[in-house]
Amino acid sequence: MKTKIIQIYRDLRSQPVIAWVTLLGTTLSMFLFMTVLMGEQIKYVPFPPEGNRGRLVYGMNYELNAPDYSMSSYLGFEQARLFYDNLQGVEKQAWLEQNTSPGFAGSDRTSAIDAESRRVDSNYWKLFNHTLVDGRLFNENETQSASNSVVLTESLARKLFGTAKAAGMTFTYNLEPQTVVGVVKDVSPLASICYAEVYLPLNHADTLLSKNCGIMVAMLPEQGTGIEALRAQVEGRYATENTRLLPDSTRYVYHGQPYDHEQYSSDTIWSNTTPDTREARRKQLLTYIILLLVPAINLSSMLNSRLRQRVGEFGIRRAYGCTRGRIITDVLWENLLVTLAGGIIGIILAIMVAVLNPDIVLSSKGIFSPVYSEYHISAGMLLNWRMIGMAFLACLILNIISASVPAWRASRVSPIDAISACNA
Amino acid sequence: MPIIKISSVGKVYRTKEIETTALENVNLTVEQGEFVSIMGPSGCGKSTLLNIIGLLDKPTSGKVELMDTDCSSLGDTAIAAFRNANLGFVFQSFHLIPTLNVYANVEMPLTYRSMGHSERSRRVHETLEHLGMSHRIRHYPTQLSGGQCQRVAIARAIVGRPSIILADEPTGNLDSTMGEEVMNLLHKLNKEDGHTIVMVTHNEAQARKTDRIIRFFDGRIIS
Repeated sequence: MKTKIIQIYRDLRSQPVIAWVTLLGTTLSMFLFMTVLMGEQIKYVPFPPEGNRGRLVYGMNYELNAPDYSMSSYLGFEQARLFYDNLQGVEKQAWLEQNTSPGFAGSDRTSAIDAESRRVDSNYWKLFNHTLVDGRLFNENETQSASNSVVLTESLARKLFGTAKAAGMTFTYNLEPQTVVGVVKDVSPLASICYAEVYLPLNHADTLLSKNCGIMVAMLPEQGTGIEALRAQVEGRYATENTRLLPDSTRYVYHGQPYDHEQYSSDTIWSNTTPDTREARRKQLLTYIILLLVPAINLSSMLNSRLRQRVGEFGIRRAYGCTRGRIITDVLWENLLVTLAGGIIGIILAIMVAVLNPDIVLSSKGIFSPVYSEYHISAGMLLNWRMIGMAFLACLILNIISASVPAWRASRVSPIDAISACNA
Repeated sequence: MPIIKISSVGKVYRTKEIETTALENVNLTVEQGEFVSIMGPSGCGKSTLLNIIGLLDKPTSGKVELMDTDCSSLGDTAIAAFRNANLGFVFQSFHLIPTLNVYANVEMPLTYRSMGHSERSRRVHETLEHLGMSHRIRHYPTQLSGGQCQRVAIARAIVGRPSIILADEPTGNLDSTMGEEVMNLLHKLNKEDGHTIVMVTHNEAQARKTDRIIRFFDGRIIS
């Protein structure tokens, strides 16, 4: 291997222009690939407080058809209770508002400032791993009693009180007096389920709120319980409810809930359809193929030029017993090492850009709105085995696409022609 | 006992417009341990014959037998394995791989065998020692003189302990002193180590020192 690496280095050094273009081309293509990949994967990869993305499932919406009307919407309390309460095989369950609500917060120290809020029940803190900075998280009694105990994010606490140690302090939110019981670390808007600046208690028995449709039920299945088992129970509940509603000819339409995180993140999630993740995957795959194919064609011609300089070497190797297959695998290995070198630089570059200027990553997926103006992508969100694995798989594919034809052509060179060409 | 047996070998190069006969009904037998030189004017087919003996090229007609094996019927992979085990090549222009150092150049034929690293290393060191090149083991071809390059090329040719060495004008690119040195080396390999050597040369004096001279003209052996 050491000999191989030295040979590649000397080979690249002997053709510096082609070597630099090859390395830069690989770096840029992997940078581009990773940027698009990160924009896509940030929706799926687990990171705090959504560290359970791989296991969580969600009840989100419903469709109701009647003879003279139909409606589809986010879940209301009624549907949440009807379809998702006490499912067998669920370890923990939480209710929370699907969307944040805009509002304004004020304290003695500052005039009103914009702050996004989300109502969550006390179980929410058990499913989502927020980092507590000060105080505590509100408990079930506080949610049941519809108290004004709230949890703030660190940066909002600093804005309101000049410190993150704000437990016990009071402020107003939408002119209602509130007491801070705890402060948690800021949440990235990329954590779209959890993001908020003010967490208000959600009371399951709140009659006023119960009329609102807008909650989701997040569930953590017990180990060994598959999502299909939960779906079967929920579908059974739909059937039972539809039997009860039969005299009215009204019925709920089942669309395969609860959804996993991939379905939740799908662009095709509507109340009256089943999210088509296969179509989304096909589109992603096509995008990735195009992203790799275009640079691969260019890199292929570069490699061809490099190999033309080594035609004599291949002739000699053939004369000394190297088979065509061995030449192909040798060229693929050599090119893989070059691709990996360029790929690693490209990956590091992409992560640096994502951390320093997330707009580039997110705008590639259309995730770009004023609410995301203060998002942060940390290297920790991006550095996981899945992403690293996909990046190296991309390097491998880039290598195979770019090197296969040149390697095959190199193997076809006749030893005599190759040696004669060297003599000429 | 013949180690090389060429029977009625012909070689014709065809293009759309023209047909060129390079070899015509060539019959040749070389005994084990012989040092044979092939002479003739440029373009008479000497190198074509050497390529056919070296299984680098296929004859249009006739039969090539090396070490009692009919090589005409071997497939690509079998030919590659046969070359690796039994044939060593020495070229006029050395044809060392410029991006590999002396050690790696000499080791190259052994990497196509199922041989462990330590055994390969032992063989390479032993061969370079034998040819007086062990002090240049980490050097690259561009750091060597012509004579040293040819010594390394000979080391590469014999490291796999082949029975036959095919040398195509091995002194053609060397001055007379270095040429003499290389010839002495080839004679030593022939006499002491028992390698059978077939050498193409234009040098009458060098040819006279070999066991037999085969003279070629217009694709045919004339004496």
